[in-house]
Amino acid sequence: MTAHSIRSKLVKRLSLVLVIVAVTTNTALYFYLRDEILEQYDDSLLTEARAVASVWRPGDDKEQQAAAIIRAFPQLKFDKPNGDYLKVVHRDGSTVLHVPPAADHELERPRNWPTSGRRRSYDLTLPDGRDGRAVVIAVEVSAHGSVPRFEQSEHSLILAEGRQELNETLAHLAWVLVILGAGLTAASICMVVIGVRRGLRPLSDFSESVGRLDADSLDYRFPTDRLPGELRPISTRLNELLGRLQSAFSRERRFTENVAHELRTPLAELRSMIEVAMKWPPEPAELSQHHNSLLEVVKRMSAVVQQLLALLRSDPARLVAAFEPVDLISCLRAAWSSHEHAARRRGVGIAFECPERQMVVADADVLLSLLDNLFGNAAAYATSQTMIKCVVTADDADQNVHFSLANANADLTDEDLGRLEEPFWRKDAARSPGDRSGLGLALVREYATALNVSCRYSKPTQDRFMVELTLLSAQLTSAGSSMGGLPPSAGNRIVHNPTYLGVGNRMARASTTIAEEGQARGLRSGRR
Amino acid sequence: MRVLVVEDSIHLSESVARGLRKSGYAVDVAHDGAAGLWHATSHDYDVIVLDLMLPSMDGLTVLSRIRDAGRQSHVLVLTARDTVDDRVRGLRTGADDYLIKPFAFDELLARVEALVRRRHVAKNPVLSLRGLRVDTAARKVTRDGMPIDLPARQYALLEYFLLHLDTVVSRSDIEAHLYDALVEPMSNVVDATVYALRKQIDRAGEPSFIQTRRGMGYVMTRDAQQDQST
Repeated sequence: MTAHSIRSKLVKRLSLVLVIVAVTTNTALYFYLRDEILEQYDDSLLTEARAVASVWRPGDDKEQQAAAIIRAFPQLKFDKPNGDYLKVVHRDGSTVLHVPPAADHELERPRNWPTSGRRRSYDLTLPDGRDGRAVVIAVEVSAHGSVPRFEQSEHSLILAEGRQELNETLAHLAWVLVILGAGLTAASICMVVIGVRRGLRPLSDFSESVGRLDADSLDYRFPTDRLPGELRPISTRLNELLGRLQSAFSRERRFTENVAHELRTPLAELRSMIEVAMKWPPEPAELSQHHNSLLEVVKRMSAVVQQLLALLRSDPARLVAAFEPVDLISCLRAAWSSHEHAARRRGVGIAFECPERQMVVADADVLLSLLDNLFGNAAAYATSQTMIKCVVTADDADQNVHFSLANANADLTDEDLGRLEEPFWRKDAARSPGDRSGLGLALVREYATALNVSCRYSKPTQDRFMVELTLLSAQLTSAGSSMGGLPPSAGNRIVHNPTYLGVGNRMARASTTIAEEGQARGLRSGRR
Repeated sequence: MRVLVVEDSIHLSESVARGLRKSGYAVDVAHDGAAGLWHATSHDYDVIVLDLMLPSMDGLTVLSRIRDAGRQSHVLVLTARDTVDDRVRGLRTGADDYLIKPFAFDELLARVEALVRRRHVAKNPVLSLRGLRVDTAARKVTRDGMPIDLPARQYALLEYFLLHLDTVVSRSDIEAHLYDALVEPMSNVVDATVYALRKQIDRAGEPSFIQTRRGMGYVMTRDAQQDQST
């Protein structure tokens, strides 16, 4: 249990409360019992005083009266050491009688001499130095025989006795209460510790379970049914978080493995070709072919690295698209021209069903890269000796331009559609000959996000694959000076990400990144 | 020794095959799983170098089918996947060894040699017979300490004889293990190679290491007396 734990704080605070409650309760109890005991003591003293008063007669000889009282009340031990004291006082303050008579003493009187009521009790120091308790009563009975009152009486009687026993009783009571309180408090604190520990055990177990989590235990899930209600939402959310983390870790691991695999195979090719050539040098006639093979492998590795860099740069956090009116048809034809030769070798052709010109709002370089990947994919994976169909239609009602690219492919299943955008995913697990790295559609997803374009894959029929894009139309009203549906203040360039508004150099850097990529991949149309 | 390389990368399979051929192995190459399976079940290969990620049929399926067909060729799995799971899966399916890409060609060669020795129950890489000594690891041949420079095919033939001591090997056995599918062996090719090998390792006035069994083939025996008596 650490000093800053909830359990520690709870135990400390509850213990403090218990101590305060115990001290307060015991103190209150002590004073209550003390008052009760004093009242009983005073009642007893009062009874004795009234008994003595009943014997006393005003005007009688003092010494005879004193002797008579001593004889009548031997239990008061007036004539013994540490005995009681008696005094009768006249209203004018003069002493009428004092017992024991031989003693030359003066009993303390109450600070405020009672002038009303029937009795007054007070503490005093007895003439022999002891602590004492005294009671003052009026001693003359009224004509009606009722209990005398001070205002009606000429004389008052003071009876005092030592309160040593009373003090001892009160001290004993105090000790009993202190010990009892301390014991009860200690027992309560123990129960608090045990109770808090038991009560918080689910929390500490939960905390330990969370503490044991690391990158290797992301498959662990907290059992929500056994947890208390307060922890259940936390564990549910943690389980969801763990699930997301696990899939993210798996995705990253898969990505890393795929990157390693993509690079290992060409590395193995290079190493094997070089080592074998060093050991058994090729014939002069074979040298050219050997070098060409090496170059081909290096080019393929470069393509993979370029695509990996493109994927990194296409991260929405880094990619800022500069929007402007772009002719989609020109982009389509430019993108297709990069793959036309490869497609023709496989007997794959293309049929465009689109207008002469269709302006859309996009970043030309990003759009070109997106289309390049789509056409590259279609050219590589369309069934040989078939046609790719490219359709562009404008919807004036919602100012959208719909683009679709469909090709024959009987290999893909509906389940495969969900994995198309996964980096390095290919239907054929083998790294078949060709320069497709499996990153094309992953890049398409990133570019589509940057362009705020919806991208959908489907299989309209069993043997056809189709990708559809929906772009925002840019209706030119006068020589491309304004764009429909877009704020005129932005002119022809609209910053997609508002975070970058006004940050010209960062925009320029992002545009440069795209442009470099376009140049590196030979995809720029030269329009910008 | 005859080796099958099943690898979809043309550059890799060609360079591996070239290196193995230069080392004296007869090598066939297949670029996809189906072709690899056909080769593996049609011929008795000493070693099959098998990539796991293959078009048309993945390597593990090929391996499993080879074992189902009762083929005992030793299989060296070649792959870019290096996780423990991948290796365990490959070995449990029936692979005899595992090599991760990229690899050193010498390591591949050494592993292939080890698998060949294992197939012929020879743990020692040095094979020797009456002063004739063949170091299969260094691929060097000596007789009484004097080096003999043998062409790859003759070396392979000598190694094959030494691995089958006291066993008559037929011409067809030799053809199956020393010539790949691209070579159309004729009967006198084997005889010519045996003749050339004898010239390299035999000495005048001494009995030949390789004896001819008419109508059956050739044999290399441990006991020189036995050779003379036959």
